[in-house]
Amino acid sequence: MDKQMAEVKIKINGREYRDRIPSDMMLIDYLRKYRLLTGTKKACGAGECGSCTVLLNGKPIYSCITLAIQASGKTVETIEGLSDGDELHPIQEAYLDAGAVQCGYCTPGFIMSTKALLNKVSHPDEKCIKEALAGNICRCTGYHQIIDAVKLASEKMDQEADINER
Amino acid sequence: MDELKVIGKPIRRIDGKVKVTGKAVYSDDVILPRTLIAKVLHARYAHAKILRLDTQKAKDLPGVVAVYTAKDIKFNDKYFRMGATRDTWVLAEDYVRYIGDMVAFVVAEDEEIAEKALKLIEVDYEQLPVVATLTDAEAAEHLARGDKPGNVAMPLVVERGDVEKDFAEATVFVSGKYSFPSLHQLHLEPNSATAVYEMGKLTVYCASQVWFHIREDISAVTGIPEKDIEIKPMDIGGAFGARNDQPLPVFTALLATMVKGTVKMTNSRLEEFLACRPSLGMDIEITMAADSEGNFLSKKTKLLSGFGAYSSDSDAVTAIACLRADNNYRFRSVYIEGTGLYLNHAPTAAYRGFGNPQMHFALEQTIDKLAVKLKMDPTELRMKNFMHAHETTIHGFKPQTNGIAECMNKAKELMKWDEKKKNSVKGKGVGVAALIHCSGSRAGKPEFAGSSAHLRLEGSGALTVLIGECEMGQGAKTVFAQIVAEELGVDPQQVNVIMGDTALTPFSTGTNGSKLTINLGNALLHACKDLKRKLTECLRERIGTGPVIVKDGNIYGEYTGEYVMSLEEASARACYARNGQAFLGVGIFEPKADLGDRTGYGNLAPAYPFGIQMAEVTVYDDGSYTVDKLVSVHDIGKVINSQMAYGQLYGGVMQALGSVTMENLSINNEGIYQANTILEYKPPTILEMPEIEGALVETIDPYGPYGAKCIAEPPIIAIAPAVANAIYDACGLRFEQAPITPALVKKKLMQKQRGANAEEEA
Repeated sequence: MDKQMAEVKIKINGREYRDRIPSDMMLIDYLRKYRLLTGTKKACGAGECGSCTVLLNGKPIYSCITLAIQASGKTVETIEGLSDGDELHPIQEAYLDAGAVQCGYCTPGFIMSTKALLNKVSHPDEKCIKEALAGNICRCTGYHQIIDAVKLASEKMDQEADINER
Repeated sequence: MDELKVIGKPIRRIDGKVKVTGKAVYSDDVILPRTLIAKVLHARYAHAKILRLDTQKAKDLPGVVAVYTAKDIKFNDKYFRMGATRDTWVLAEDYVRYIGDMVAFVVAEDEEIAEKALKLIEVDYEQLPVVATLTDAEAAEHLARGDKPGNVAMPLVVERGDVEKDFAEATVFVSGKYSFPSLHQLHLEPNSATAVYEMGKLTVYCASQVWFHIREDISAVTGIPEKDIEIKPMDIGGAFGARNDQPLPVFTALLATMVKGTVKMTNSRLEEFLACRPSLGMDIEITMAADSEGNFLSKKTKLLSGFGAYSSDSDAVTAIACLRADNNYRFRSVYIEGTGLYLNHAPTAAYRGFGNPQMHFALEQTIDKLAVKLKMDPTELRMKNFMHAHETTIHGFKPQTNGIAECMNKAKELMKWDEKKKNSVKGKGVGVAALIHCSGSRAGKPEFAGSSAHLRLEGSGALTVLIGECEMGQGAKTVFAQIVAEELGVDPQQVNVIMGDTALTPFSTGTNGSKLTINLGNALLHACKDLKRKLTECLRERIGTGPVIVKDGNIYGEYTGEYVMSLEEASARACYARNGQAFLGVGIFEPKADLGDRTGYGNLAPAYPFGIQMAEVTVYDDGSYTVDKLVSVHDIGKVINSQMAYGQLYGGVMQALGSVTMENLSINNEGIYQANTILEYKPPTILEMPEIEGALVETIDPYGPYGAKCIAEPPIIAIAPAVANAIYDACGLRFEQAPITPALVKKKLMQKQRGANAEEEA
């Protein structure tokens, strides 16, 4: 039996792509295999760990349980779209400064969840940070320095906003 | 000594930028042309005889390149892994012995075809009785494998001193019967490998803690000599001991060799659970004997450990579980009977702590029972019995530094221990546990004790560290860059560190036993000195600088102290003066450590880390409880990178918290795992994170680089008993079985309540 195919038009990190893909293909497989955006990580394939988190129209979603066709006509942000050339995004800087990265496998997912949070709440308290990151699992850091990183990122983004205003 | 400029500072990790931008290349990110996909058919039953195995339909499926079973594999009986107990195969021959045991391989053009082909393989099984628990295995009514009488994989009996005499002298006795389950290390990155076979040679892209062991294993199952195999290290998404023994890269290489092409295999999460090498579940009985003053006299221990269906690192883990924890205390004598048992469970192996957390769970609770019996503060009872630096411990350890007393004082301060003990609040409790571990265990190869490192300086000024161990997230690359930066005065971010490419680096025995900072750090220090000597000699003799030294990234006159030239200029001029030859600093560290005798006696490591961990809990009437605060204080020697050291501390503490409250990878009576998804297995999320206060006590160990010991494993070792002891303090109930689930607490609370009611009525 031949696979049912579908046309998708997805804007990823600011660029629009049109592809003909199997209609049952998950977004993560489309990103990794069609667009070679391997920064998005698959760890559970079942929406349990958050390693595959990307932003779909600005909202964090598990790309391993989202069909690629569900993203058609929408915008997707992945970890690759965050930095500007060699210039890191303040969230990326904050993760490094706070020591929130160890093996790094969960890091892209955590950073994307952090971005979604800080887009919505610019100064989250600890409870708010924990709730926003509860869908991401990290086995290395024990989360302590990840919380520090989110707080630091919030400060860094404030500073950047100040500079832009001036 | 000059003040340290880089060592001890919270330097950003040097491999961080690629990790926060998604550019790090993990094994599944490797994409090569003409890659075939391999999949494994796992056993459906935990114990069964294979009556019929028919692969014809799978082979006939278009797009299938090959289907292999045991009879197709020439060296099927050569996959020995670790070598100690030679009892395993590449593919199951006549029997399967755990769910996850491997029955057949499929190689196909893509993943979908490979998955379809697996379903077309026909297997008829005759189910056999399953040995699921250590109690069943010991009773040996059934055998987990027909070829192993009594289910016994390993007996170990050790007696030091005169146990009977000391028991006769003792006046106080306490005992307990503890049980700690098998745990899944759960590194987030599933195993994946890509192997390229070309004209008799193999290149394998994978993650591992033991690059050179993997190469040995691949050689054994393919028949290709080690010199024709290259292991290319990918970024590693966690390991925690699980990547000491990995069938996947070995079998991927085997399949590439058999189909003479490029083969990739990636585990699904389910396969990570089924075909993993989890930790050893243990049942431990302890009886301790002391005098009325609280001096420990003797101890008898009976330990059963679950090897799973085949052995891996299980024998070494069992031996360490039997002996290591004793070394913290002044016992006059001990008797230990340890038995490794086969179960119809995945083969078990290393998990951070290497058997030590299991025994600490038992011993540190037994010590608490003694404190209760003697009405002594558990911190004081421990302080009274700790060993000190320069003393030889009961199993032969000779620590040169021991900061456990400082750790205890600091931990008590952070927990406000005395205050909380004085003003106890209903339902709230605090608990303490002490720990000892090894920095750089004498393991790996019996032939040699040490480690080697290379440091290369090229004419371009590029400085590259070459080390045959792995960076799995622990931060070793950054530690090594800091050492080079300190010694040469350069920016650590400018130092390249290559770890684990078997074609480039010195041979190494594997990244385990918390050994990289102490063993490889020392080797690298020697390599730095060697490089500086070679460079300054060349500058003096061929460039005519006169006597010079390397300092702050420049060359200065040795006696004049005057600036001569930059290190960059010096490397260019010196390399070109040598016809382009780079400088290679070579460093060797041979630790003063023994392999241990037949009974495990010996000074196993160059240094020993110590620590105190504490927990504060609240237990509610419905059986639920919260861990409110954890304190973790460690003597790790000189701190090389404070931020990364705390990262290890928090991470280890949270893994330990998972082990005592939620995680369990035991099997049921049919051999089915309690959990085979992340959701069911329940590793702690950010919501489970209590307040954690860490502190580091810096003893300066004479055998460590700058005095450093280790931090990788210690934080996971004594949190579990500290939590159990805190729960006892809170509600008077002793939980000797981990994980301590709310259901378990509720059951015991109700039993206690009923008991109290019955007493009242009577």
